[in-house]
Amino acid sequence: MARRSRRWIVGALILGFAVVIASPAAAGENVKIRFQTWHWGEKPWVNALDAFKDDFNKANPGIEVVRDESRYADKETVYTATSQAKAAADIAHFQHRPIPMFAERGYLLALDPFIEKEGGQKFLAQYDQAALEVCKYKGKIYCLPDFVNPMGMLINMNHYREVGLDPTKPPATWDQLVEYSKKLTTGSRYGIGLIGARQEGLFMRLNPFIWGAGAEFLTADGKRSAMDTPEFLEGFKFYVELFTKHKVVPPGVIEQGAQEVRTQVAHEKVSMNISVPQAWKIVQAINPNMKVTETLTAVPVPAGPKKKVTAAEYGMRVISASTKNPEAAWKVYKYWYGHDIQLRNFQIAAVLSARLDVKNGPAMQNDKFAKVYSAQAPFAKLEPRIPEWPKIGDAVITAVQEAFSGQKTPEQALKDAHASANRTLSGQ
Amino acid sequence: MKSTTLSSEQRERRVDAVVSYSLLALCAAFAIFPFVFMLSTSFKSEAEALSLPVRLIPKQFTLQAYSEMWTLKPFALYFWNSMVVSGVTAVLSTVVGALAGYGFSRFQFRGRTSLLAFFLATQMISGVLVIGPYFQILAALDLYNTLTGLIIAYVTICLPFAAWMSKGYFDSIPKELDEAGLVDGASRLQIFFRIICPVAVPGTVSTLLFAFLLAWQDLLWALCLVSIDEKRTVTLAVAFLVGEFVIQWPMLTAASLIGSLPTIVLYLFLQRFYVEGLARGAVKG
Amino acid sequence: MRSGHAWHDRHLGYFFVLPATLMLAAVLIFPAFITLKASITPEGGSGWNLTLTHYQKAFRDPVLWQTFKNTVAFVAWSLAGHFVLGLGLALALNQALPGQTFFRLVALIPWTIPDVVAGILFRWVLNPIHGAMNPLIRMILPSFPAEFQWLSSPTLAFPSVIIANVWRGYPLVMVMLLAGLMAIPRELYEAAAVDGAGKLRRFFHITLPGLSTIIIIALALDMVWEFRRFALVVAMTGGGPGTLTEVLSTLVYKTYFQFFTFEYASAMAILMSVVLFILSLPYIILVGRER
Repeated sequence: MARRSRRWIVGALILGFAVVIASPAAAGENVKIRFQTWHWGEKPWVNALDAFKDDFNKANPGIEVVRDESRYADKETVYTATSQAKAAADIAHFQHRPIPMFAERGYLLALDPFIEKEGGQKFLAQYDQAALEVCKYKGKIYCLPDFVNPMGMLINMNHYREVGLDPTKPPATWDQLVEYSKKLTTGSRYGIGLIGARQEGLFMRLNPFIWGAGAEFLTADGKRSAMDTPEFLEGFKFYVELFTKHKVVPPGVIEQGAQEVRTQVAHEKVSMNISVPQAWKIVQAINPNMKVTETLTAVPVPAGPKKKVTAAEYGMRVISASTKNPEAAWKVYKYWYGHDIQLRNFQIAAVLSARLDVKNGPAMQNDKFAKVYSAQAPFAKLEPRIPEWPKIGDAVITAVQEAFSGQKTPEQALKDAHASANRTLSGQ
Repeated sequence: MKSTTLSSEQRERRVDAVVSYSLLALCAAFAIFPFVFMLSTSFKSEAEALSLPVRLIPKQFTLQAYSEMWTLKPFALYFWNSMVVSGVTAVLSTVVGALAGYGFSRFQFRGRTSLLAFFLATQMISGVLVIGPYFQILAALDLYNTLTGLIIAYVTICLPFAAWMSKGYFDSIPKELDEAGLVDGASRLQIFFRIICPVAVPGTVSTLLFAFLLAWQDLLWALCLVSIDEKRTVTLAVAFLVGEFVIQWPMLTAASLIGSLPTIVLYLFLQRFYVEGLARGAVKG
Repeated sequence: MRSGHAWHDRHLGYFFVLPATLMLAAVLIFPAFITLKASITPEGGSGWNLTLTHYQKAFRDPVLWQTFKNTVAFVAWSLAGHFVLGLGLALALNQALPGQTFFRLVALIPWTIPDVVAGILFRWVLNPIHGAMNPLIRMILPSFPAEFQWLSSPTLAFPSVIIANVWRGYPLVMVMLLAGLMAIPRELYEAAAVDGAGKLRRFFHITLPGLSTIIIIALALDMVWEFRRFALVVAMTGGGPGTLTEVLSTLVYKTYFQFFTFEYASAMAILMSVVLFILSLPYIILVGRER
């Protein structure tokens, strides 16, 4: 038995290694460009991506766009690890926030030389200028803006009518928001869905209230936290008290992320939701039985006492510094940012393109949802774009969760977050 | 006199059985409960999995998830990758670990305790920090996006544990067995393979299972070391079902359930050797 | 003959541990060195400009201390759960009961679910609106609130994570202890029974001593394992509510990959390793002393 088992083990090892080593290495003359995004696995995006890949590959023999899938939850992690080993994907997809950090660490290829060849400023003028600012870091451009996501609000028109509200007159002030939410909160339904989970989406819902109250996260010079102002407390408290005091938000708010809230909308558990422009399409995919275009409509986020403002985020693609074929990568990159592809992305995935000729074109202007979201763009504001922001933001989320769960009063939670932010900013 | 001893023994055994069965039943319920939920979800459509109210028996029973696993997504390929990686890792780490464990157990060499400490210490640095530099090594050796790279990574994680576990099992085997073999003129290596290993089967089996599972279930390393579909493992593929917009619950639960089958099959196959090993251990020179 | 044998013994011992040692050293020395160097390099800097500020920062960091306390509690409770359940099950399964294989299999299956899936699963099951836990409890206790909060509750979040972790991790301990139990010869028990020793006496005088090495090893390995536990916590709570379920491994991950402060994260990781090493010293010494 022993001898037999030993031979068995050795045989298995040899077989295992043989299989592993014999795995065929991909041969071929084509230059392969790894096009990385997490959307390869998401409906309806995958249709737009597949169409793009097929179109490009057919039109450009010699260069092959290869599907490279990242995971939404850890796209930055994988990119960091692979960039450190100089094996990152040629073209990657991120939201606007990590761009400065990646650029600082040298992971991204500066696009200035390519842009110069395409016509410099004239080329750049095709894109949303506000979004373009986000792509610049220390005097160089590291990306082009892909799509713009100003936040709006989705409301369920049927629910409104049921409780005697008029869906064409959505809440325009905070008081109206509370009043309508309370009316909409019946036995089994809640007025509005909020995010309490530890994710960037939380800020997309919280910030309109902070800024709407006239507050800022940092002082004007960006050196100290400004979270101790009464205005900040007002906005912060408003967000938290929707759950703790007015009870118009479903229980388990701390576990609720963007996905959960959209699912609640899809299954009519909440009547309102602050959301990105594509949300209605996602809701439709979650619940095919809901006639979304007839049931939901998009409205602006209620204006605050001091300001009408909303949050926004941008999507952008980057070319990695470790790419072995920068010329080919630029070709693919430019193709993606061309008019036809951008228009098709909008039609399939409902994203608001940052390309001006698509943004101002008839397709987007006539779309029921896109129209409203697009109109919010002038009011959109971004979080402070400093390297310390992720840590400060983390402390703010902690404060929100502590206030939601009742561990601390909003005042105390905010005080602690303020102290933590100052510690971070002073380099401690 | 004889009759009273028998009945008290019988009584004791019966009490044992009752206590054991109650404990086992409770634990079985505790262990199975999430699986019941997984099973129920895997037979629903995606829309129903997210709908309210939550139902245990699906309103519309469907095998869609189970069939789409193989057709829409190449889970057969993922299974192959996982089995190769986990199998080779398990065998390699168990064998090398057992050798090391035997060395620790039978020999009092200088630096033994320090080496034991070193083995354990290698696992104390957070994986997060090891990944970047580790990755650089693998990329330099062109082992990025290969199963071999994954195997190397997993073997180095399993080895210290395998060595420690093996040492523990070997310690419980009396040295007399070794000495009997020495007297017979066998070399240490022969003693190791022919005498000690067969007796240490329960320990070896648990080490094998542990290494197999560790390699099968790992996410972080697979995530960073593999970026193409062809080399993806089952666990990685399941994690990818968690997207930005939705979590594909039916396929996630179906794939996880099927993914737990290889381990169960492996365990059933290996535990046959328990009995043999026990019998061998009972016959001592 | 004696001294010759001993000399041969020592060298043969090296031979047995050599392959493993080489493999580990080859792959882990470089990353360990990089981490150590990063921990004493100023933020974003390079070269040999060394500094200890990160360690000073770490000692002053209240979040780190809180997380450390959470981690110790997390590890202690998880270990306790694993051992109580693992030992009980191992004892129960070591008997020749009918249905033994079935129960062994059932007891094993939580182990077959990866960390990350278990985390996602428990998070979903415990969700107040969409989860199956509340309706299930209501079937037995109809007066139980319909939308009861588990992971959003400051008191119940941590225990929920512990229970999920115990569910996932007890089979390892059980399998190890079962293998150890099988190695205890049946004759010892039979002899003791003939001598009139009761169940409890047999347990304390035969079972526990026979298992002692395995128990120590299982404790040491599980402790190291649970200190590294990461995917389960992240998937279940993300560290919340607030910082109640934040553990060291998730904090290091956040500091490295989200805050992008590689150097500070390295210092934290080194500190974590040192603490873990000190905690495992007693086990190392005990195990090293055996035989």
